[in-house]
Amino acid sequence: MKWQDILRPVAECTEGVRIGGLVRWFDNNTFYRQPIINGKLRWRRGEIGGYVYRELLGATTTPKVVLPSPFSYAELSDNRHYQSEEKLVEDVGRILNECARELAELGIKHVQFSEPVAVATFISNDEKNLIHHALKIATEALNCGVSLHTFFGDLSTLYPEALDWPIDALGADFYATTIGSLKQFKCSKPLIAGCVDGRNSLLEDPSMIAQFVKDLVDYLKPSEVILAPNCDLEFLPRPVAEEKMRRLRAASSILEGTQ
Amino acid sequence: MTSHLFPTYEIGSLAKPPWLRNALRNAPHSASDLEWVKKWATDIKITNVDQLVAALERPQDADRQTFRDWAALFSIRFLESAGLDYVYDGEARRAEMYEYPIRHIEGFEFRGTVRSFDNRYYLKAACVGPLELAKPYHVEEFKFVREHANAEIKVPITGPYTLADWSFNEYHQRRLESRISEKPRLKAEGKRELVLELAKEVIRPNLKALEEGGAEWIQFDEPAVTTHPEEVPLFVEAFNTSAEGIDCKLSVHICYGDYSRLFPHVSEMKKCDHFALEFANRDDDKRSGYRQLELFREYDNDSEIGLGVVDIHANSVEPPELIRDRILYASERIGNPRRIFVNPDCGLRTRTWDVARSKLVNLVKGAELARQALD
Repeated sequence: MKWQDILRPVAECTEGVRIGGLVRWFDNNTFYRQPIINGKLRWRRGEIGGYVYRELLGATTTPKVVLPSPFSYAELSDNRHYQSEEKLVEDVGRILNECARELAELGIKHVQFSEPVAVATFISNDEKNLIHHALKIATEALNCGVSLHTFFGDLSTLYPEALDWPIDALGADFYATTIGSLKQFKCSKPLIAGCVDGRNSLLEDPSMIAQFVKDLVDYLKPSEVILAPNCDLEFLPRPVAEEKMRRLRAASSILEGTQ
Repeated sequence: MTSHLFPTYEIGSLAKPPWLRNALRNAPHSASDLEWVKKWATDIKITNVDQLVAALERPQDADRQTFRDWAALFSIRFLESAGLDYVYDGEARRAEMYEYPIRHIEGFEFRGTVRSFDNRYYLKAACVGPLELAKPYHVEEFKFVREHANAEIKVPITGPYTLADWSFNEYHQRRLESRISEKPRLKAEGKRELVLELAKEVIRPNLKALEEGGAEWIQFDEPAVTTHPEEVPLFVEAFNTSAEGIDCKLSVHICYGDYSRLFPHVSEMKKCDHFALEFANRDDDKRSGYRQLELFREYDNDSEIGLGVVDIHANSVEPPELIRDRILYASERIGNPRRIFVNPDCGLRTRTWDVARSKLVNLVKGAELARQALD
């Protein structure tokens, strides 16, 4: 999608939102424009297609888009309308559901909801329940695969509860999460292993990535492992990001060879 | 050093004079470039400006240093003419606060551009080997300022923590990966090594050279500190490492974050005489933006406070009376007006010179009104 930041396409296609000033994107030297929620949220159908490179849809077997999770979107916005966090997150879940369904109609086969807030900040048990509730809304009648990727923080704070959420795969940032902190529970879902660092230019050795994934499989026993960067790649110069993806692919080949 | 109450200064950066970019590229100047030169030369009383105009007519024949000197001179006079007690050169010679120092440190390589916001990008470097300072990189600019400034001088220098935080770290992580397998710990240990190496091998020699050159006050710019509250102890250790053997006045500028996370750790910065902080950006008519000053009263009874009284992200110009009220409120909160200095929230590089000038003139007037109120 042709975004400037992960929140922008959704914000620009929603009534009740205006685009605000720059806010730091977690602990990065990168900034996003904060959505200001100043009215009841309503999805404007027909606009999100403008953000999709349709010519690329046929070039891959599983075109995927990345959207913010309902909880992260709500928490990263400036809410000036809703009286409760719960009502806001529910309505964000609804607009994201409409967004995802429209994208699926355009040919998107997989939606990844990005959930940095829940792992990068402390959240209460009520908020964990709210994330679960909002994901149910966001994924209702959605005719494509769905994953939840967490980054900039430790997945163990949501684990193993997150395995019960309505997602097909769960992602972890292994530059902020240790295998040891998860190994008490078997991973009953496919695991998106964030095992190359999207925030450092040091190029990972494919054999070391492969060894890390083998350890992951030994300890967590996920039904499947999807190799991925730990977070978005916008924090890297493009050639570095591309080389990291090549190395991820090389690690995958090493693992396939040993199977 | 200035003895009156509420001394005034600018944090560091100003917008680059609009003619400088073209001149450094040997590109022809525009009519508006010349208008700018003539207007500001008159306003801030710079003589012999015909020499600059002649150089701009034929930039290919002029030394690039000539243009940088003129940009620095305009900035010095701009700050002095606003009435500030302490000045520098608006960081006129520095591309910006990260790229300039990194270009002078061996062991870094630029890796390319990364997104800053929207579709704006900045150059980012990686630490790829042991660091070595080929030559202190602020001495020449300091000498120029000292030669030309009439006001007192405060030298801004990007601190070790921020230089490390804004860089990739390849060398230290690679060095450590054979003995640290957990990636979160590997990143943290690698960063710690890089920060402390920068403090010892880069910042300390720079401070030493500036001090030997006659600098009396050096300000560390450390905007990255509050983005990683859990690393405040590392920032403190880096400051202390940098400051070893340095006797001139040292201060730290930190902006845009929760200052409560600095405490109690910053009380261990025994050589830090002064904290320059942003407050105006978060203020309202109840002075809520200044409430965190309580922390300095509670934990730290000695250091001076550089009180941010104008918002550098807004074009609206704060009236002197508002600035006076902020100063008086802060004095009461701290309990000792002698500890209060007056400054913008941060560098003014994102404002035009017209806006920056109006803000600084009012800042100086506001400080004077506050002095009168306490007379």
